[in-house]
Amino acid sequence: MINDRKSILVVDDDEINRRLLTAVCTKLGHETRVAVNGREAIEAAGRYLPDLILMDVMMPEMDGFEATERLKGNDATKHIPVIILTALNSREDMLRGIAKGANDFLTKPIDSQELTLRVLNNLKIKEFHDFLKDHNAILKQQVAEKTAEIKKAFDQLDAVHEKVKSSHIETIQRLTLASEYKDEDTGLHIKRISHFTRELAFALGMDSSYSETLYHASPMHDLGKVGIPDNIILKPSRLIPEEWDILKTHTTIGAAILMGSGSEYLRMGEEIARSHHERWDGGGYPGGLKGEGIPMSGRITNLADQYDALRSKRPYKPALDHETVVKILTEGDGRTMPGHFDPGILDVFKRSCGRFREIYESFQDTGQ
Amino acid sequence: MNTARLVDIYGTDREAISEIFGLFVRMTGPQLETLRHAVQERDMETVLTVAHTLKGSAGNMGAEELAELLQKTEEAVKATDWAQALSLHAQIMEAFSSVREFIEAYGHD
Repeated sequence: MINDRKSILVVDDDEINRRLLTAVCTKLGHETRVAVNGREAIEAAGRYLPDLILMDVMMPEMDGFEATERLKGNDATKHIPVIILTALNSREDMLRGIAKGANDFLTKPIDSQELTLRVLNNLKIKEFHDFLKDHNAILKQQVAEKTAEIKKAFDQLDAVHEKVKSSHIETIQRLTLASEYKDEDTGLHIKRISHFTRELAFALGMDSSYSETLYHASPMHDLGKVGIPDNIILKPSRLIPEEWDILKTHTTIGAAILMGSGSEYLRMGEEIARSHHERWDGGGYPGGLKGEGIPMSGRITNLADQYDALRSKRPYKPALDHETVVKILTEGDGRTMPGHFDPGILDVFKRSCGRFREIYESFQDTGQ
Repeated sequence: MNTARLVDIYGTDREAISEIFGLFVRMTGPQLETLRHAVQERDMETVLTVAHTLKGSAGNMGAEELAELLQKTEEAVKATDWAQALSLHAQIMEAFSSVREFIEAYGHD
């Protein structure tokens, strides 16, 4: 199975026996070492860990029985098969050998064929034992290797996924910047919208995957403004009703641009573009949707966008401070009314509006 | 002499067999002396040890008659038949003598 050349320890006080036993083992292609008594046998077995021991019984200093007993009592050597060499018909020796833990017997005088068979059998047993012993270790190692391979594959997949995701997000950001390009806005508005919407989603208890998607999708709410003429977008005074009707189409234009995408960001972007001017009480546009008929992402973005618009300076209005804006949103000022908003979201806003102030101040346009 | 066992081990390597034979003759001479002395002294332990060892070596060499006589010596001594043991020793010396002749001739073939 592993290595054909085995190591055999020959233990006999008689030189002729040692030579004959060694000659047979060598002929079988194995390596031999010799010991002349039990004490030497124990020492050699511990040092060289042979695959098999041929053990004579009658020897000076320490006999074969005692040596076998000691070898079998030691964890390091107990798995090494011991073949006891007994005189022919010595039943007593055989029984004693069994009691001491010997694995097999061989009668003297030495019969080359019998010795060969017993050596081969016992080496096979030892090999199988070693195989089993190593098997666990090998299995463990294989499992560890495979696990590492799988982990590596997953890591690579993750890396690719991350790369795709970040290029996706970058595309979205650049697209969004294009839509804001005509405005005086420097891009900070869309950054704030990202943070406001994520803050609200988090406070509403949405899961982190939804909050992250919303974070990347909400900046696309005004994408449709690329389809609105500059004289309307940039008009310094209030719009006349016909101009209003045109401006309102930025919702459907944005949705049309983003429609049918496989990307979760663009899909949510489409939803937000279409619904971020709907109102809870049904008075919004373009669909006049009401209550929970308005997608959650649209309701969240609507409140965030209103807060941001009120805080910011416009050609036709000054910037308002945080407290004033919170008051307008929660109590109304005649134009903006609490009924426009999802009461649940408005509630959460009231509780977490301190974060809105922080976000607004962190991403404030210079010169305001 | 039956050389079948040795041929089984060494095949046609007569030189190796010759070497083992030489070793056997050199080791056995002094041990037979020890054996004779122990029989005369009626030292049972030494007789049994030496006879046992020699029986094994003789068996390995294929010196079947010698091995048999040593076996008989072990039995006689265990039965404390010292006269029989002494008589067997004389036969052992004769048998060993033939073995030595055979071995010398083998080496010169």
